[in-house]
Amino acid sequence: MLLNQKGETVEKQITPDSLVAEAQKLMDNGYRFIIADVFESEEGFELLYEFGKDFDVITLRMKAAKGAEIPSISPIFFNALLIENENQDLFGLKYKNLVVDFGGRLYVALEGVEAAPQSMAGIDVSLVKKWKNKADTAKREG
Amino acid sequence: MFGMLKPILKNWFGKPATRMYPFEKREAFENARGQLEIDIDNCIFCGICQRKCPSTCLNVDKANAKWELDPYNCVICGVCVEACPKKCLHLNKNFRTAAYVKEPQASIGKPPVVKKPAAPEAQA
Amino acid sequence: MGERRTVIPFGPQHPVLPEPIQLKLVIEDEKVVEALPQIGYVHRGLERLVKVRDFHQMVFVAERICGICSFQHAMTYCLGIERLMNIEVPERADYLRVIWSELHRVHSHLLWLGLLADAFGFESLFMETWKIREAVVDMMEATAGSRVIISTCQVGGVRRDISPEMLQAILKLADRIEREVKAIENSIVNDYTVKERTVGIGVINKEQAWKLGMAGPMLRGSGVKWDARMLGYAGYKYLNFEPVVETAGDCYARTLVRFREIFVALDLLRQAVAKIPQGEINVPVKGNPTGEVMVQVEQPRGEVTYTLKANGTKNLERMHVRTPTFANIPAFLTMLPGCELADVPVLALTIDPCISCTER
Repeated sequence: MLLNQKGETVEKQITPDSLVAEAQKLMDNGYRFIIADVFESEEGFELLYEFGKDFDVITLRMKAAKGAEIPSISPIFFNALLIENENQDLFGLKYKNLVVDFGGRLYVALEGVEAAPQSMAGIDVSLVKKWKNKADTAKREG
Repeated sequence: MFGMLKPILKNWFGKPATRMYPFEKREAFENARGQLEIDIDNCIFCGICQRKCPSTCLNVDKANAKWELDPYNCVICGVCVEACPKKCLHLNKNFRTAAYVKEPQASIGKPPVVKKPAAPEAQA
Repeated sequence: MGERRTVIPFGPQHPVLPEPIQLKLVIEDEKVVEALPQIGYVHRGLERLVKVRDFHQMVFVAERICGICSFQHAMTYCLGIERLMNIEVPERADYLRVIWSELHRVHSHLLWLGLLADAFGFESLFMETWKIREAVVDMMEATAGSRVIISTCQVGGVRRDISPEMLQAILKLADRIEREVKAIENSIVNDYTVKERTVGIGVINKEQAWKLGMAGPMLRGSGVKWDARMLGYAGYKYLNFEPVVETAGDCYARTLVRFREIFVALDLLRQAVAKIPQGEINVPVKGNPTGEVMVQVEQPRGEVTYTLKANGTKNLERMHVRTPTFANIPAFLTMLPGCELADVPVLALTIDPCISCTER
């Protein structure tokens, strides 16, 4: 039960399979995404997604096993990309369909890791790499 | 476009907003929290300050009657001052200045007088 | 021309950035086509400290998440714990919390205004605003003992009282700041240079702003009337105020929102000083918290969200902080494509970035 200043938030138990559909429904109803929280325990993760509209807060609560892949809601709520990347960093969660996937290196500076050769400064983003290659070829060709 | 002209003229002909710091110092405010000081003679080395400290900058050694403060770790919150049962800690008004070496400050006091055995008996 | 794309790193060291964030800007001629942030230069892992510090000590850790809105961080954390433990805070403490929060808001907005002026090279405005800010910071030292990180909040109330003389001094300060800020109003609101650099840049409309989950002055600059102070936490339930809303959604609108919020904050200060009751300033706290709570508080930069999970021991199980900049970075990323390279610093500043907050 998630409390807030106004009392309690409206809570809904969901599963990873229904997450995207639920998020889409909230998006259509004019809710905004506030934050996702991760509570780690020995059995696995408990994920809380909070959505707000005026004074109402809706909490989607779901359980995820360790190592399981969780669908990302960032294609629906763009601002979820930062928190989901952070959770990949801090908890080792895996998200699929992330808009921008930092591959667990959002917080890790380049000096700390042996960056994969295909990544640029620690970020594995094919898009930027594509642009970079283009720029490089253009430079080489004069 | 000339909106800024008035303040600029005022600044030209007015007093400077800054102080010539090392020569002219502002007096500290009455409530200012400066450095942590201990009146070591009153200290009973109970260690409450060490347990309450959020930045773990205090180290109380009861056996050797040693009270140690790492001033460069201290966040000057004043929790220890409020918690001290003997009120022997206080914050002075002068802020800590820069230093070349970050050294802990140790104060050595008298070991607490051993008249303690009476207390547990009274409790029991 | 046209097809040549270059990747330019913007930051982590940059004259306009007070804190380290790196943006990889993909540039086509002078236009930004894509931008990617790289953060992690100041990640301190403060959230994990709940495992070793008890919930009273965590107030001071929470406070140190941000150096500018420090009091509100501590207050948010305390509100959360108080909600979990059902602690009724004395009314005087509620008012004192409002007074310190609004002092923080005034000094933060003045600081930001100076930084924005600095970003487009308006140095004299930068110095003026910081000169005014100095008086607010001095007032914080006079009332609380420290200039910025004032450490006056605790679970169950506040740790220091403000004497009647100091309350009168706050009123005087409010009048003085109002006078001095009004004196420079013309050179911000109606200035040609300011308008050239901010009007029509980084436009985000109302619907987009809400969907992107923007926070604080950014959201209100786009015309959404949402201010977490409307929730009526602490002393705000006793006071009247109207959130400042602008509809244009560009950098100029956001500047205006922050500028006008200074006056709203001063008005709240006056109301709080007029209405403050006598009485206790804190209540003793016994036991440990249990349960989960989410608290929203309006900081100068926007809405901060604390999620706390406690399990009945003296250490919390999890503390999660979503700071306003964390919410505004995605919006920032959507603003960047299509703007000129020279506008990037101004855009970076209108989100009022606090990277140390973001990374905790």
